[in-house]
Amino acid sequence: MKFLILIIIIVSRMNAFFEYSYYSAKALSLGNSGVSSLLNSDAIFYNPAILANLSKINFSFNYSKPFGEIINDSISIYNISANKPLKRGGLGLGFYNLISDNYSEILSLLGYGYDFRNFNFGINLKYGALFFSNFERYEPILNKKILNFISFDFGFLINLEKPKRRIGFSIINIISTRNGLTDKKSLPLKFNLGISQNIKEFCHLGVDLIYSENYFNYGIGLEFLILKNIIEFNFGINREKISTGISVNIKNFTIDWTSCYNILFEELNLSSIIGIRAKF
Amino acid sequence: MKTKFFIILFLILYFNSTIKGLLLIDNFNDGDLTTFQNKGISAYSGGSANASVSPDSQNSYGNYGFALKFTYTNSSTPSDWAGISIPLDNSISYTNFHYLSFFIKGNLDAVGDSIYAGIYDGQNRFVNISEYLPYGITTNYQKVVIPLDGLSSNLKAIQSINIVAEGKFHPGSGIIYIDNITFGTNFPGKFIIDRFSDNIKDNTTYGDSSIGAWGGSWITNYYENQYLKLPFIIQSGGGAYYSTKFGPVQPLNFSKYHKLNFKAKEESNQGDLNTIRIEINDGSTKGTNISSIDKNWQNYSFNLLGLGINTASLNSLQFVLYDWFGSTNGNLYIDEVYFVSSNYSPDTNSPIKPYNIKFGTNGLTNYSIITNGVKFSANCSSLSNDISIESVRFEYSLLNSDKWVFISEDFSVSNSFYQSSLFFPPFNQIFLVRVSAIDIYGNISYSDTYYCLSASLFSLSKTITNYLGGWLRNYDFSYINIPAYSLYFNSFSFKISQNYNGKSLKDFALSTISDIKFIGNGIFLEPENIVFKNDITIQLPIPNLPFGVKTNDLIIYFRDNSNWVSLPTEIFTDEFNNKVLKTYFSKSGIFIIGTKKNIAGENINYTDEIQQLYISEKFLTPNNDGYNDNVIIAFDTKLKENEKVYFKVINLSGKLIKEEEKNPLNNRVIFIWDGKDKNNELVEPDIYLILIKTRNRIEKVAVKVIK
Repeated sequence: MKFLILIIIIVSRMNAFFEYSYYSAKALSLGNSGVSSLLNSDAIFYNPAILANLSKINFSFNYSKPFGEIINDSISIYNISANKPLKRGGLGLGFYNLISDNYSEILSLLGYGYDFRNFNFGINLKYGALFFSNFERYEPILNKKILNFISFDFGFLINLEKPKRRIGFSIINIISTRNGLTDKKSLPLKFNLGISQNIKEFCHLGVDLIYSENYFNYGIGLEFLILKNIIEFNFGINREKISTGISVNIKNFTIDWTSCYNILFEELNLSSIIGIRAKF
Repeated sequence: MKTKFFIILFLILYFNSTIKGLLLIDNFNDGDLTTFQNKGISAYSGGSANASVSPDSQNSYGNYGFALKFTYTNSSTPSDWAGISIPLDNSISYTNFHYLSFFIKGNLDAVGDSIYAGIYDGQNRFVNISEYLPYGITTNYQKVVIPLDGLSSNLKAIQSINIVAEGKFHPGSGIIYIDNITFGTNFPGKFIIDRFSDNIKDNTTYGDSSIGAWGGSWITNYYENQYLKLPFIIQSGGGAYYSTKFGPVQPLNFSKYHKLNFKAKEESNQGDLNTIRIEINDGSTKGTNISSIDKNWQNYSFNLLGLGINTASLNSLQFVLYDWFGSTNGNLYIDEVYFVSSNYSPDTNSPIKPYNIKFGTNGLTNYSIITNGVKFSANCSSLSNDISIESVRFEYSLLNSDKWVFISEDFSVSNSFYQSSLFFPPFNQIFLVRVSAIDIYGNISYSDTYYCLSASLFSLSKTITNYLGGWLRNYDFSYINIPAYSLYFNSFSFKISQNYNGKSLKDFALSTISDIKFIGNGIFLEPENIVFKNDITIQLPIPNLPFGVKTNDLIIYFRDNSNWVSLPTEIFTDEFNNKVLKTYFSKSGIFIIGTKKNIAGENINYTDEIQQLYISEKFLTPNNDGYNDNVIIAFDTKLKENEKVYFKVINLSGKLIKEEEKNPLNNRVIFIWDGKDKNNELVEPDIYLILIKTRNRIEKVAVKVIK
């Protein structure tokens, strides 16, 4: 309980969130389908109910420059996540940060998943902010330079044994409140539905459907495990990107590398994301 | 040989005698009551009237600087009058001038009052302004042109310009605003005696009118509906007259005019007037008869010289009604009585719209990039035979603003080439430039409007090593709301250091300095290149700096001919707690704050498809406050004009926000994003990417939106 309070205090002093939804190198390599198929601590960004499925402590770090070279700026994104299994579920922590010149976005998540046998329920508490630094010199009239919000995510996951299948559902940004700057509009609700299944022993399929603000997206990912699960080849597609990735498992560590091509905007060319995971 | 000499002498004398020119008495833009001739303007009044005069920044003509505000109160006492006197420098000869003009408007209380304007040459010589304006004085500015020929024959003795509100006919109170008082050498060609638009018996020369009858006849006069109505009963052998005197003091010299024009109609109840005699008194009475007057308005014109009238000495004009054959009664109507010259051809056309507009030596086109300190120029001319353009005005406006900001006005009489003063554009913005030509009658022609881009760092980088003032914030070019400033003249122990409150800066300057102006982020000690005995100290307050510019990056530059010279600059905090830059220099001229190097802009060389890519800001705050409401992306290109350049705005989630296609124009491509999506709604605060795609190149620009 003391640990939980400590975590809440730490997290509540952070600031966070953002619409960018590619949090994990592993998930991106699978078409960003993470609602049911992502079995590591990065799942907190997609569906907190998965936290109850994780039997070990996981740690994950991802880094990318998703838009490559930008003339007048440099945008980089990193996120960190970790989880701790509990008696009937699991606790998770997530942190996401976008850094650019004079501007940053931070999102922190505290998640908890509870295991009702084959049915997991999960919830995230999120606190986020946008920061504009040195802004008052540009706009003397506007002196507020932080946008804060608090929000919740909700998710569940159904684990089926025969066939071995997981069905996940999550709602992002429930009951969000927002203040700062001059805009009071709430954050957009986002609905995710995912299903994943082992097609073969070495092949795993995940499919996600996403809806937010009149915008439908999907994610389809195929994962191939070879060389006694040491190497994973991943292929994914969604409405925006085609991706491919490789994951290398070395003892307790995994290195993910994903490259993707932007379907909608060829101007963005290829981009890549790298991740390091650990499992104890 | 002698013949040639006399021809040359004649030509010299001729051209000297026909020199055209304007004399601007004051446009009041320095905000004080001292004219450009260094004479103080004052208010005066008679009877129980009250008058006051002051500079007014809210009602200036063209919304720049100040106007002269004249406030008066006349009681119902007929002898009440309130006025302002604008003394003139009597060391100047005014004999070459043929008109006095100014812009005038009044508040609603003043619109119906009798406002006279004129000169004092030992006598008050007035015209009723309402008679010289088509609709009288209104609440909008109009230009009044008062002919001096006929008003005074003694311009050598002119002492002042006077403007008077008289309570004789319209007691009341009001406020009159006056701007741009000018004498001009063009001859207007027309002198209005009475248009009756003021519905008073005095004519426009301030002369009284009277009626009389004999032989049992009767006449009376009504001034209503803006014409003269003369109900009459004329008995056989009798007659009646309406007489109006020229001026309060006779005679007046109308030798520049050759015709008397008026319009009239008759409305008879019984019989017809068979004779109306037009008589003019030049010491003796001379005239001519009109055998009958039409039932409808008709114009009549008489050649004064043909009647043997000495036009240099006129006392009065009379309309005399006779009926030789029986009695008659009815109404005679008269209107629009005026003298004109024989070649009078009013310039009813607006001037040719200004063209060939340049900044420096470059032709102005849409999206010209304007750098620090340029002078605009334009060609324009009048359509009339006279050189009748009185001024050419240069203005700019910020994008999406309906306010035109005054740059300067050229009053030189060239009928061809006009030039603005040095212009420092607002920093990093799209702005519009236009030029307007105004003739002596107030007709205005506007040039085409040009979109321009201010990007001082961008273009100056081509010519100088050190970048100059990347952030030329505009202080509205007004003498108000200027931050604290300091000028120290060491050799005279002279010091100014205060917030400026609308006083004329020139009052504080050394005698060798004619004026001190604030320009962009600096000052202009006029005239340039006066060498002081000892260095003067220049102190310039540091305004808000754009992102990326630090106080230590700043330096004061001096404009030495076309080169900008950096001066050793110190930074300190003055007694008002302002951060101030300080330098010493021995010459007058332009001093502005700049940056030591390029740190405030993007200036990147690429291949021929995208050259000199320019990005105005990283931040976009679309709140219509004039700051960062648009992001401007501009680049030079060698792409052909029919080749497309694509701009796409996306958010980081990959959602398309807006897209536009542009074609290069004059080897330049400009894209402006106002923070709105394709549905014309403002986007959420966020970071956005603008993708630029040309034939072979793709570039990405990041923009942060804050609302």
